[in-house]
Amino acid sequence: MTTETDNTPDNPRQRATLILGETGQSLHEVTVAVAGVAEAPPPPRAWYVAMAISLSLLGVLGLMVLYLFFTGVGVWNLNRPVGWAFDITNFVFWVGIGHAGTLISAILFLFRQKWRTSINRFAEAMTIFAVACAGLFPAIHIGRVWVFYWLFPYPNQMAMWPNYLSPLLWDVFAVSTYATVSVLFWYMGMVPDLATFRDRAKSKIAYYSYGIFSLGWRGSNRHWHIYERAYLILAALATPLVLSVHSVVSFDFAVSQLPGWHTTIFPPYFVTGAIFSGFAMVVTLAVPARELFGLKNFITLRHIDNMAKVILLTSCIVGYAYSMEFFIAWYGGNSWEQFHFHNRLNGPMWWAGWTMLTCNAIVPHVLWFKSVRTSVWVLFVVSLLVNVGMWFERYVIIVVGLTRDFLPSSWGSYAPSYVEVLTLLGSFGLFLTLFLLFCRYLPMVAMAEVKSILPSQQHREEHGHEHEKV
Amino acid sequence: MPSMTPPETPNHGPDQYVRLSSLSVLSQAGKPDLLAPHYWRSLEQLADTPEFREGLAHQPALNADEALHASRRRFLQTMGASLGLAGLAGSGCIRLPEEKLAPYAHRPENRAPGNPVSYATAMEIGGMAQGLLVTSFDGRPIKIEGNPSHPLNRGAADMLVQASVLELYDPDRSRGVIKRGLYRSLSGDGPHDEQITAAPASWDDFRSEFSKQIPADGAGFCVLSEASNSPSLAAMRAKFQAKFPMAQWFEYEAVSDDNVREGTFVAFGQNVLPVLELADAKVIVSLDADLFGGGSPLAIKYARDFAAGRRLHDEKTQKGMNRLYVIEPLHTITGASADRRLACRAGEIGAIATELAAALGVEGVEVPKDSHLPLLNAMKTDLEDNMGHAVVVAGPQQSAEVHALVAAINHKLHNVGKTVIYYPDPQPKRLSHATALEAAVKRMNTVEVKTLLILGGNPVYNAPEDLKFAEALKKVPYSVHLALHEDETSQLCTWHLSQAHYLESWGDARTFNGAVSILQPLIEPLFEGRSAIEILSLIVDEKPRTGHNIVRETAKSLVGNSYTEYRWKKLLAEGVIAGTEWKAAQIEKRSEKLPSGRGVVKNQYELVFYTDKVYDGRFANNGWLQELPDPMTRLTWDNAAVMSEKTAQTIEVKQDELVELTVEGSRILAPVFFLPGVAEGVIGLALGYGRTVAGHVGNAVGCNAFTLRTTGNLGWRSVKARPTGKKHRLATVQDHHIVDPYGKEAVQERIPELLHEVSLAKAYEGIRDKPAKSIFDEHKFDGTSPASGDQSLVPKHDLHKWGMAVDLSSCTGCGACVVACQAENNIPIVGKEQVLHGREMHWIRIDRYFRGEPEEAVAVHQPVFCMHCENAPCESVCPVAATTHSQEGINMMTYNRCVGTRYCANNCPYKVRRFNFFDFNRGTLTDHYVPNLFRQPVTELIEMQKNPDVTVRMRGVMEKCTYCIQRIEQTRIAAKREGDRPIRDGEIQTACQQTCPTQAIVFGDLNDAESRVSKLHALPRAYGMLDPELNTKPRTQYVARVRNEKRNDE
Repeated sequence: MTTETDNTPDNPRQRATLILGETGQSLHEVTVAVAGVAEAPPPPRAWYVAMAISLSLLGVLGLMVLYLFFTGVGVWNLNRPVGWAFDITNFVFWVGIGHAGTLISAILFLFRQKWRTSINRFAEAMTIFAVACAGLFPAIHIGRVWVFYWLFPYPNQMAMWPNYLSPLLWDVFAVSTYATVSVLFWYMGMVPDLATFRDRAKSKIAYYSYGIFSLGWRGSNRHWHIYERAYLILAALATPLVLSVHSVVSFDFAVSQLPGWHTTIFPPYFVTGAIFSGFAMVVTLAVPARELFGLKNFITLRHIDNMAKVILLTSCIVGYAYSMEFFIAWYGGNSWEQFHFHNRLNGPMWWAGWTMLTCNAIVPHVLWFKSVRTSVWVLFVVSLLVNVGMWFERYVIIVVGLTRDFLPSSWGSYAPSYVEVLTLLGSFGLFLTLFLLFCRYLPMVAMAEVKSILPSQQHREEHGHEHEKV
Repeated sequence: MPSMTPPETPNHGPDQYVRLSSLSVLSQAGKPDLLAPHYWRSLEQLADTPEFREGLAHQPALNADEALHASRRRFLQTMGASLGLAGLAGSGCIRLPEEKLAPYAHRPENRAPGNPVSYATAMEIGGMAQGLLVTSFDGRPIKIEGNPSHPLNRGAADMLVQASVLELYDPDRSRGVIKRGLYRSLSGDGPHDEQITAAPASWDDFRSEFSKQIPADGAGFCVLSEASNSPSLAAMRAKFQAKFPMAQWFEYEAVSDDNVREGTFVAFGQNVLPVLELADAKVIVSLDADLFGGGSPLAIKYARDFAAGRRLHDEKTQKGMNRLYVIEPLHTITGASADRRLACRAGEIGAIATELAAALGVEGVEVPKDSHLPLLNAMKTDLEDNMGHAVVVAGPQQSAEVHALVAAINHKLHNVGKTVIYYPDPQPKRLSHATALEAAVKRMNTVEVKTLLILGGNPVYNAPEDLKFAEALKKVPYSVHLALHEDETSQLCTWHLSQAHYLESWGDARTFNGAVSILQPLIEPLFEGRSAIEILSLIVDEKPRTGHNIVRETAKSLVGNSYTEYRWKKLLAEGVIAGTEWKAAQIEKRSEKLPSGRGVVKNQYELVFYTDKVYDGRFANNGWLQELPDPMTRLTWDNAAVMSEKTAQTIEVKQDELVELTVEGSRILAPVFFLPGVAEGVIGLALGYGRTVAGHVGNAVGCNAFTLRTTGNLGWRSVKARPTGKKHRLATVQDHHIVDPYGKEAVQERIPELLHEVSLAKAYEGIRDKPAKSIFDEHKFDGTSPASGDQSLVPKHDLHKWGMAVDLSSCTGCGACVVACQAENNIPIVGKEQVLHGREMHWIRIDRYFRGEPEEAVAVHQPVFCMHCENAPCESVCPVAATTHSQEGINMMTYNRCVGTRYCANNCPYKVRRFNFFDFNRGTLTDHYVPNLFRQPVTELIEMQKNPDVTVRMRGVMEKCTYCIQRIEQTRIAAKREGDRPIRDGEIQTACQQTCPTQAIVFGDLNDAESRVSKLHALPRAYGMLDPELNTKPRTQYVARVRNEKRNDE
């Protein structure tokens, strides 16, 4: 429908076009392209195939969780000394994934990175679904799931408060705050677009559903005024959360005293890792999605290129953090610590350590080449590898750290049970199901925002500061 | 707790009263009354067994009219009664009179509902009694301790005793009398494989049928009994032999000290039994003697006396210590306790003993041509310097020749009467056990034996292989087996009689020095069992007497004229009858010519048999023991071909690979386990495993070493070993996986940091860094409350600061504390599969490390429990505050607050926290992975053992050592009630401390500078594990192990 043009060259004298093709020239075309995904039944066959797979995985997740609930945590292969393994690994992994969304929406918004508009909605949705997956694991990993609510501070007849010293409790606050703010931010940003969907709705159900959620948006000047202020405030609120959530998650380990856990570098290291994995996941999802729903003009090669650059940058920081860990272990002279890091690379689980290093600190360096950054499917593979690597990073920290701590008599080993593997796969089912539903029924691209950066609009803004929003 | 006399009436104690009364509740209401003592609800549990269904079939049919026209109420009553009666009878056809439920009009002496009472009794293994105190809770025995006034136990008990309370409640125990359709024709070419039918019968059936079997003079009647020194049994036996002069009586015990007895006879010309007094010994030389392990009851005494000679707790008074040399083929805990240890083949011990005897100048010994014993000079000088305070001892599996040499050496060193006491053998004319069994088998094979009565034991399983006992037993037309379980032997006998457990029966037994203890029942027989003396009474007496009557009569004869009712009660309360000890035998002459030790065939593998926690197989169905890690291999749920890595390389087998062991056509497959320190060419194999008819727990656990054991040499033999390439995963609780070279290196680096060892010269020198001074005002956890400023209202003696100390010099690693803790604290077993997953629940873990090169590995043990750190890493990370610190310094676990995040366990540097991954207290050992809804219901019989003072934990919660907080509180309450007096030092004993034979564990109040624990903490060589590094400030401190490798300084 459109001819793709390359918008990746960096010419300092000319601002690169962020939206390509003929659609880029008309506000209406944007609306048609984005809303068309939700309006034009039936969706592509690939969507049905993907949905079928995701729903099956979701079903597997349900079965595994029910089996877990009715039998006990023993159905996972946890043991003494390995009290956490896939459960918390998955948790940290999903929380990490959930970082890109807020970063793109909030921080890039505050930094006026306009290119974010094409991917922010999408990334935010990913964030929320990832946080939902993340929230699942701490809830189901506990021995007595039926009293999970004891983790929350609520007035009760036992006159018991949770233990505010415990990093696990900080997690509860950090993740729930993050989830709340992310949902608010995502939803609020979506209101104008939902109103557009409402206005274009053909069926009663769609009309009322979108109608209820668009909160009576009429696009008035006053609406826009309030909306933009609120958006700014929420962005400001969400920004520290990007840093705080994963810092707090890292406290689970940093505040403990296991060799390999007890490290002050963890908060920045985890945050960077989270952004790293989050962007990788955005790429993983964006590449097929833009193919599937014909959004190549919105999520352009330039976007892909930009994200690849972020991945490259964070990979360098992560690589630096890894080397710092090793350096400090050597420099600090703590024999427990030295043993732990030696064990990471040479112990019985060396393969996990090397997977982590290769995928996170070595493979992303291919992104120095622009040809790699702009060939989407190569980038797709790199992003998948980064996802794998980041999952293994958490696995290595948690499991390898636990298998061999202070007393050699209590060293152990760990291999997952089928229940754990299927639960991890099932969590992807949950994530993808939500994501596919989102793609089908909600505005995948922030139409209102994209319209503000259309080349035509840019031009008008520069000249007359006129506002035309539909 | 003082011991109490039991209820007055013999066999009709209040226990039975409770039983019948709850039964009547059943029958009246049609469903169990919730207020009735719930343990008899095990009737319903019985309902699942085939015996029960059989029993139901034998119930008198309901009156059809009544059934049809009865009111609902009447119908339920009848049904309830059927259920109750069938369960009680076990065999049906018995209708007991209905009795009324009534409260105690007169409360029995010293019994208040809900208050535990402890009774003195004894347990006999292999003819040796251990004196015990059994705690009973509302009629249920739940915990066993050693009797402090018993000469053998002195308050301690071994793992077998600790676990025997579980045996009492074993659901697999046989129920009543079973008759088998196994009559065999005597004609033709032996018996055929007939269809075996088992049917429940009654004791009366048995008696009437049995009495017809025996001719008046007893010809063709043979009794095969276990070893026993019970005076009552001896009296009954005398009566039996008087009545049936032609009958024969043989005694068989698979594990016995007969070689010692024979060897001593060779040396001294009289049948005497040596007992060591190690407390007086300065130098101890053990030639393949596992003094502190192996299941022998004497191990408690030896370990205690040994530790007494090594206690360095006071710089002024305790300076020297004994020195232990151990020369052994396997690596035992005795070897691990040694100051110098040498590995050699079992067959070399004879030569070594000869060499040692020759070096010491024992007359009549052939001086060997070439000496090859590296330790010889050191031992010789040490022994000669400490004449009268030294002792040489050889293991019971060693030949009579070795024991003759050892006896001669001790005689030469003037140790007799000092460190070795010889007691006269109460049965001087007894055949040795193997010979006796051989004689019995001979008679059985010639069909001379028409009737065989097997009183206890399991010879079909554990007889020497070459005797072919099972074949012989099949030829006996009428055979009766008395046993706790329907086992391998019962399967081949025409009758099985249910034996009363020692906690259910009256009896008596002698200990090592002849002192008699009375066995008194703690509970009515759960399954209609009867004791051996009652069976004999059934056969001998016109009117069968109860065990109570028999024992009282014996006691009367032992006490003599001074016997009164009061005296009897006193005997029961004391547990030991004073004045029944033997006098030490006078050792005068010794034979002129002594045998010399034989050489050994070097190029063959030597298979050495040894006993461990299941003893001779009788404890195979005891889950506590099966799951107790072996002190050296740390193995659970298996025995293994234990060998050094070098030996394994020559056989070309790997760890966990099945090795085929062949001996003259007998062949077994045993998994290989590498144990550093085992002599090259030696393969150790524990006896007692591979049971086929043990029960749900013990069946098919390990391999049966008895199939390779023959009368030629019961201790060891040469064997052919061949790799099979097949795998069998061994569930060891340490080193779950093979450690890589770097890991191994790290272990070696860490051992000296974790487990400090010092030489005798440096025993009172400091080993630890000065603790860092905190810049904060830290909690003291000494009983004062940091919250309220004014402490003046709390009496000073009420401020406690609990702490524990473990003397690593004393600890032998035997494992009794682990089982004691399990019994006290309701710790479940998890089964082999879960142990393989690393989910064993023991609150005490006895870490075992090896120092040095594998060939000369030195083993060290370290019991690890919760350290109750003042800066507990587990507490701060718990999100729900389920684990917190008490003001007195106890790291407490609130089970019903725990949500099970396992964060505490991750953050515990000592890894002492245990998580309930499943509902380990429910279901069976094999259905953990079945959702709870579909699991088997709780075995209520097992529940009867549970300590009501300790929560039974559910799935999903964390647990760990609590310093036996229930015992602390009991003592505190008692002290409060006695006029708010201070708690005395040593008054609170944790379960592990109480049973520890070496008193290595000391618990007490650190606020009291005079308490034993304070003094131990104050020793310069006391240290907290990982303490300066992690600043956890553990309340449990270790006292560094002292090795006495060089000469004594005195």
